[in-house]
Amino acid sequence: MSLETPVTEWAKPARTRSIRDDLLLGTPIVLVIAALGWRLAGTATSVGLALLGAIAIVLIARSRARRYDRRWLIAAIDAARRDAEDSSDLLFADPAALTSFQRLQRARVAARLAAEPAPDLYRARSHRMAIALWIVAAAAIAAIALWPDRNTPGGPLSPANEGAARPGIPALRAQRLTIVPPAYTGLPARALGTLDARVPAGSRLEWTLAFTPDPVAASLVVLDGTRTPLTRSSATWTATRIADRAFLYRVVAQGGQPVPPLHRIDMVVDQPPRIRLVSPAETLVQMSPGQRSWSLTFEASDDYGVQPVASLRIVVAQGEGENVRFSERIVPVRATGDPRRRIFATTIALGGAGFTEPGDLVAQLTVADARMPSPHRVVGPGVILRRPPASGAESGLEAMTRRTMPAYFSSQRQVIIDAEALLAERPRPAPDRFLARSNTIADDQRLLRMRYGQFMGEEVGGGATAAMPTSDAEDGTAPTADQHAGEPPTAAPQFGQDSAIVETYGHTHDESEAATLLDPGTRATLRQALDNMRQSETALRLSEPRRALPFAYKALRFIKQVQQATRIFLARTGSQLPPVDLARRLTGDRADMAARGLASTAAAPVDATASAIWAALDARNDAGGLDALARWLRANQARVPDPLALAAAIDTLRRDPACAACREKLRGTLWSALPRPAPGLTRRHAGDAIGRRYLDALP
Amino acid sequence: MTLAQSVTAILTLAVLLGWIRLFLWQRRAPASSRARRWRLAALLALQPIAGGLLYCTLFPPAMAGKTTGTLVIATAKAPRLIATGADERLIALPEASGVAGAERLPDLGTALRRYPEVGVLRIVGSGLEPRDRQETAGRMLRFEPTGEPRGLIALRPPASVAAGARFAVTGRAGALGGGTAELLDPASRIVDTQPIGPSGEIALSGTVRAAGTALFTLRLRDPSRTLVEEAAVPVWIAASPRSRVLILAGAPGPEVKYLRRWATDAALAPQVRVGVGGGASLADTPPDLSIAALAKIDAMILDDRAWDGLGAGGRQAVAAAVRGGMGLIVRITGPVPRGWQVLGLTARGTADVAPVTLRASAPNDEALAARRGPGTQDAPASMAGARDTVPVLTRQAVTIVGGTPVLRDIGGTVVAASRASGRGKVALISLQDSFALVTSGHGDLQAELWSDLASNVARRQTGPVAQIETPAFASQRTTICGAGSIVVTDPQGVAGRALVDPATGAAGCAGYWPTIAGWHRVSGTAARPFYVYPADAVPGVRAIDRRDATLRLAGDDSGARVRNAADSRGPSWPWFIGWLIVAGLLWWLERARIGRTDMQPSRHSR
Repeated sequence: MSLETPVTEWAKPARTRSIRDDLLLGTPIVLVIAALGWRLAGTATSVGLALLGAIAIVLIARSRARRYDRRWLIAAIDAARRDAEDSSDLLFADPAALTSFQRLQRARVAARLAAEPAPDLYRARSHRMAIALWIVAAAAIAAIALWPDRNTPGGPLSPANEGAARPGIPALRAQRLTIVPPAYTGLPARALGTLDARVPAGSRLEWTLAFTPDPVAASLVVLDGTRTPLTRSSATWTATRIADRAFLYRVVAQGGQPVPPLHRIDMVVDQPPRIRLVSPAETLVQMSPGQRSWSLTFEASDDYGVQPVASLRIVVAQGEGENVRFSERIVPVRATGDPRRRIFATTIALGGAGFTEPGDLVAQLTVADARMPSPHRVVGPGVILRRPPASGAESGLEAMTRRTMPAYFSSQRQVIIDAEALLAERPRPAPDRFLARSNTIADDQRLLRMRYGQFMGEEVGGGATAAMPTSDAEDGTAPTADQHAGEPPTAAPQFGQDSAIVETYGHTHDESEAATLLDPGTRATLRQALDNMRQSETALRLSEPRRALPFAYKALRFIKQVQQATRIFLARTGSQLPPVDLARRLTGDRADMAARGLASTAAAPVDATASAIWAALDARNDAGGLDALARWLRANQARVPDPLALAAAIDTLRRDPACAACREKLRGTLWSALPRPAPGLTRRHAGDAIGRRYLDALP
Repeated sequence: MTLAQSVTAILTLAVLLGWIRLFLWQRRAPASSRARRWRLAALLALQPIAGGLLYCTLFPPAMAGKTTGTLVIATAKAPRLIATGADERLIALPEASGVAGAERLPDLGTALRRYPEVGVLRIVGSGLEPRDRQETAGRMLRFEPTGEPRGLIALRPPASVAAGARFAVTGRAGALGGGTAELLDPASRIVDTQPIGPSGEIALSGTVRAAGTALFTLRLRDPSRTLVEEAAVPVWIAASPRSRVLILAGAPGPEVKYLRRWATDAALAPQVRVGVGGGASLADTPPDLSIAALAKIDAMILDDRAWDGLGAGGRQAVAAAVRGGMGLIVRITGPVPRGWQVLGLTARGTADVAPVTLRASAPNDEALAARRGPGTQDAPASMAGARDTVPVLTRQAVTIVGGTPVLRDIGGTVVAASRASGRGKVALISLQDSFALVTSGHGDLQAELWSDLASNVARRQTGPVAQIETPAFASQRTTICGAGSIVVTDPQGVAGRALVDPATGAAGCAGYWPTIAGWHRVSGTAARPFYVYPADAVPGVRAIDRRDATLRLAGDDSGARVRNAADSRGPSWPWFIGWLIVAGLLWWLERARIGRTDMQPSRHSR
């Protein structure tokens, strides 16, 4: 007697029932998974999932059934049969290894077990769990099967309503328009039940149509004349087109309705990205001392997404005057954040960028959006980091000029203040030092005098500069008086022109432009101011500030008067007046004077075609107006706010010329394209004879 | 003389002749056959009685005693349950729906023929239809008007509008305080909006394009922005007749330059003369300022310098031309002397200038764009100024006395005013720099301003114009006047002739019953289109019309009880029988031998 045989024999019912229970529990789960697979991926996936699930359940059930082995059997028999006397393990032990007493006991137990039929050893599991699972699974499968799919492509077609179906005449019965936006937009494909849509530019449009009965051929006819033939595949007709522009079309089946209704595809154009400077807050930043790096943050937003890598153009301009060096390089910047709103943050190491001298560092971000092909590239605002010139860094003649610059602008009041300070200084400085300081003040006074002297046409030389204080030219570059002599005369002198003599042989110190700047009264005042300044300067040179002060005060007063003078005569430029006929001037002769005509001011004529057609559409019933309007629309597409709507309205009316509502719709659409003429006179009502008599009788 | 008076006269004459005949007969008769005194008296007395009875047979008197009882007439919007008194009878006209326990009759005339004895009519509901308004005469009318209906209760669309011009629509909304009124152009864009105040008055404006007919839409919304009512606003843009405008200026300047440009663009054929001093001037063609030449000018725009420079003779010629119908506009460009006046319009004030802020015409930029249209080559929409960039203008600080205001600024200050003088009108305007509107991209505003002002004073239109009662409704009579022979073409192209009623005299009015809604056209010399509303359009306006007309009827009746006997005559047969008896008696009395003298021969023999 084999040891295993009774075990297999006795445990077999339990194992079978365990497997059966497990299968009962697992099957609904597999079914739900298969249903999900069918709904989301298709039949093949569903079958595959079902097979995999079935195998998994069988494996799990088998492994769970292995629990019903010899040990379980011994325990089960012992528990079930009191007459086994806890000795059932002897039945499965090797008889050779048993003692005689054990053998006896085994025989007894075997006899008892054989005498009575073995009880049902398997403890039945509750079926509540299985029933609940099956109910849930049934509900889930029903939900999966019946859940309406709106956004997923595929699925059933939507019914169309394009005219009443008549027997034998092909008519559109069902339709679906699938829009597959370009991949870069990241938008999911969607299926529409209508044939009108608003789609992202560059989308692929897929029409799936069904006709009853099926025509010989069918096509999509765009209103501008192009056709896209529909290809037949079993019960449906399909066509594909890339939406590169907005268009109106109709579905024409051969032998069907001659002019089915129009459908409209509008396009959402990809917008270029927008760049916003987040930090720094201003586009011009002064570099702080000791700054080694510069952090920049830009935000780029786009309707579909910004490419994650942008290029940052860094231009370094350093040096001064004519000695400015430029260097430019472009570094990539990686973005963080949502593709539609990316943050480009970078830090420029100033040393690494070679920005070591005073000057500007300009950073400019260029981003591109995800459009394929030809992405939009947008250059953002330039941000400038400015390193101010260090005052101590300069040397040489330039630095000296800079330091003397404030003295150049020393005012008359400053001269007075300096002179009074010198007088008030205690203890009184040594005479030579006093003289030196008085001389410095006299220099200021001289500079100021020459500054004002320029307004009087004075030429200055020696030490001072003839350039205006605002001039960028360096000292001494202005031509001196003697340089005039070398200049060639500007025009050949003519006999009798006395001014030309002066130009040729003389030397006018009075600069005409400057001299006419001031009116005679102001000139006199300024002259007095200059005289007083000269007196003041003389006294200062003689180390007598006390004697200089009255003149300085007078000069200040005169200067203030000049400043408050209201009228400044500027030289006229631009207008070329005809020469005055001196022979006729002030003679009172008006013989040749005549009324002159006025130049025409007529505006460019407004194209009245649209207005005329609009007016004619009100009453006329022929299609001539519509043809003219269609021609006008083709020529003036850019001026019409919504050309597609107008084209659709024209087409609708052409299909049904008797439709008064369509006519009103077309006129309304055309109204927005009509230019408004300049308003003229709205005449009042004429009134009747009695009214006229009444008006005539009024005083 | 009416028929009754003629009959009275004839009967009186007949009675007199009868009496004379009796006297003659009595005198000429032999004494033996003379009548006795009582017989003669009876014969004499019976003559007028027979005459009177004959008159009453022909014109039976009213039965004063029988006009009892009240008819309760349920009209449109009548409640379902109407309480009636003891001697009241409830009649439901076709417009009343679902009135319980009422007798349904097709019109009021039928009701009155069926119940002629009633003397009082009580009207329940919104009032009588035009069909029934003539039937009530002679009966006392009681009418308690219901409140104003909710929605549009008055609508006054513009009369004819010139191409490109601005027009105004006024109306009134009932029970919509706090709501909004919107005007939509034919392209369904909002061109004007206005909050509705407690009075419900609505005044909206829009702009038109080229000549033709256009349907604007007026929308009323309640305070929660829910759409309450939509009404069509018909606008007829008349093709402008040729106009001539004369512009004179004492000195060149931007104002006159842009004035001339506006007039040229508006096809007003301007003749311009600008003085440049010293007797010289710039001119298209030297204008002729004689009275005969001015009679052909429609409007004349001068500045004050040109007006003063016309001289006394020139001013007299212009004044005569204005009395003849020409329009005159004088621009005040500088300080005016004391007592300065133009044909009765006086301006007085200081030498200062004052700022002028014009009222914005559009409520927002979209509406402004819709009003301006797509722009032209010369004035593209891209160059037009935004709504809030209208510059502040300048006016001479003068007060214009003696006219009606034409143009006001946002604060209500009168900038231009006009005054009638004879058949023409004269206007003064103190605005000095309307050209700044053009140079700041608001040329449309400048053109509107001058168009409004010039339209206010320009010569009236010439030629006949058909007057049409508005609003007209389908299946309701409307009146067309003054169009000579009237041929009306309906929207389906069917032409019909309307016969002029000779009783309307010189006005030449004809009744017309439109059957379908839409634009109808009156052709002929006074050709013009007119819009017929669908029968169920603007119910509030029609309800108010019914109410007011019924109130007028009720007011007439209660005020002066003029009772027309012709409408409440009693039966004539009793009078006829009476006359027959009297006539028979007369005949018998004349023939009978009774009462003859031969019975008393002694008296006749005397």
